[in-house]
Amino acid sequence: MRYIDEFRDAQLGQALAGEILAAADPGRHLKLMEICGGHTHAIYKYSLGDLLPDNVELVHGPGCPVCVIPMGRVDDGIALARTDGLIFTCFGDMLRVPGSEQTLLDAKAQGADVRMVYSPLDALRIARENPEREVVFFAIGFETTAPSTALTLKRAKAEGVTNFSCVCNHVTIVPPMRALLDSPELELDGFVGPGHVCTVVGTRLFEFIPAEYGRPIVISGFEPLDVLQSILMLVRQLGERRCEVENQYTRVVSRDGNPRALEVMAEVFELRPHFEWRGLGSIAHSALRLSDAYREFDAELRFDVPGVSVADPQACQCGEVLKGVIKPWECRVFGTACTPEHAIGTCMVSPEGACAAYYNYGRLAAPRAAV
Amino acid sequence: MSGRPAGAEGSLTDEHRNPALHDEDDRALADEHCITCGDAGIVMRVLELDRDGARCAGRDGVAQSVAIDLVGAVAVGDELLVHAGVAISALGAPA
Repeated sequence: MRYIDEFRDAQLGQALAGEILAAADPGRHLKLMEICGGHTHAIYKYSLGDLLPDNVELVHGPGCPVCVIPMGRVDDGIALARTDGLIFTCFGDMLRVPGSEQTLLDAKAQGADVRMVYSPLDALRIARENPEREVVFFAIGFETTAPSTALTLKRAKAEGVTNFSCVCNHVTIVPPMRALLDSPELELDGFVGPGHVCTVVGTRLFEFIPAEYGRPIVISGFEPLDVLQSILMLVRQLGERRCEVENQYTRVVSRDGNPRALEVMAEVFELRPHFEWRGLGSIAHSALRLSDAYREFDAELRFDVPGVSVADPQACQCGEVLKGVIKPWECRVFGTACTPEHAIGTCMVSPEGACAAYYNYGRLAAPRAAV
Repeated sequence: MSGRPAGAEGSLTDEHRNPALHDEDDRALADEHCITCGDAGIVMRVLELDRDGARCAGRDGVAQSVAIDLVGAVAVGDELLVHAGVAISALGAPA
């Protein structure tokens, strides 16, 4: 398929790897963070790390929306799902994210009407088909998914659907990035930027990284050649002592993003004062809630939601993985107590999570032998 | 998994694979990124325009309905970047 196959060419990949090797200063160790879980997934799926010289290290960032959901929000969802007569809808991965006692899948097994959807528009369709029942959509995701929730709510309002509401867990990417950049634990040299987020918000949003923090960032696509080319562009910037936002993903990303998507988001959402991130703690203005014009669709107002705050399990080191402080296999419970079948931490649940990506693509044996 | 690019098979072994990749979501998860978390985009080609938006198919050929409210004019044969059932960009022509 166009725009996919040509970006998976193995020979071109080898050539790019050679160019990265030639461009990287052998006397300098580079730590580059890929922010987005989609990039983490692609890096392990295609073993891109094996193509890089030893002194170019990839650090995995916090950009998987499932991985950053705090346990208390999952518990809230489960409590809602148990409401008599209510149909609870969410994306598939959310079903397996552990709350403090169980998962949404457990609640479904015990009789709650929990349904997986691929799009919030499917949840709205379920609401239309079941006018006598309340239907709740548990919304997660960064600026890539927020437009689809916003569009759905706009349609619900226009159609006068009164039995549909949304638990809004949408998060924004810039505040956690600032938190990471302000963290003394991390010494990052540059960033592989989130291509699909930039489709919506534009590359402009990331200009603060070179301007305020003196770090280069390359906005990247998600095919293997996209990621390799972005790493090459970063290595070249660092070698030439340049520091700017570069756009590798020009086939879909512009400097200003998608104005229609930004407009509908601005209408439907407003910033929350604070939001709890798994492993990162409370970050100001880092998440979205429904605006006053859409309050009638806010499930947190419509229903009695516990709203409890639950500490992460002590054994779980998702926070350190999400911040790139440790590699997945360095977590105390990786591959033993925490596996995709019985995940303790969120990073093992989503295929975009760094731990699941390591586990799924056969990275279990080698790194553990090396530790 | 069919359609895996050369070099991707590498160290993948069945015992290390996520069971979630083998269940009913296999179609969605196998080749593209994780669509079920909604935060990963897939490239889809427009097959036809209809009342709800467009019928589109991804690399697996399976057609689904896609909302096109957030992108400009769309024609049959265009490639769209789709997140959670909504097109957020047309490929080759940034919004």
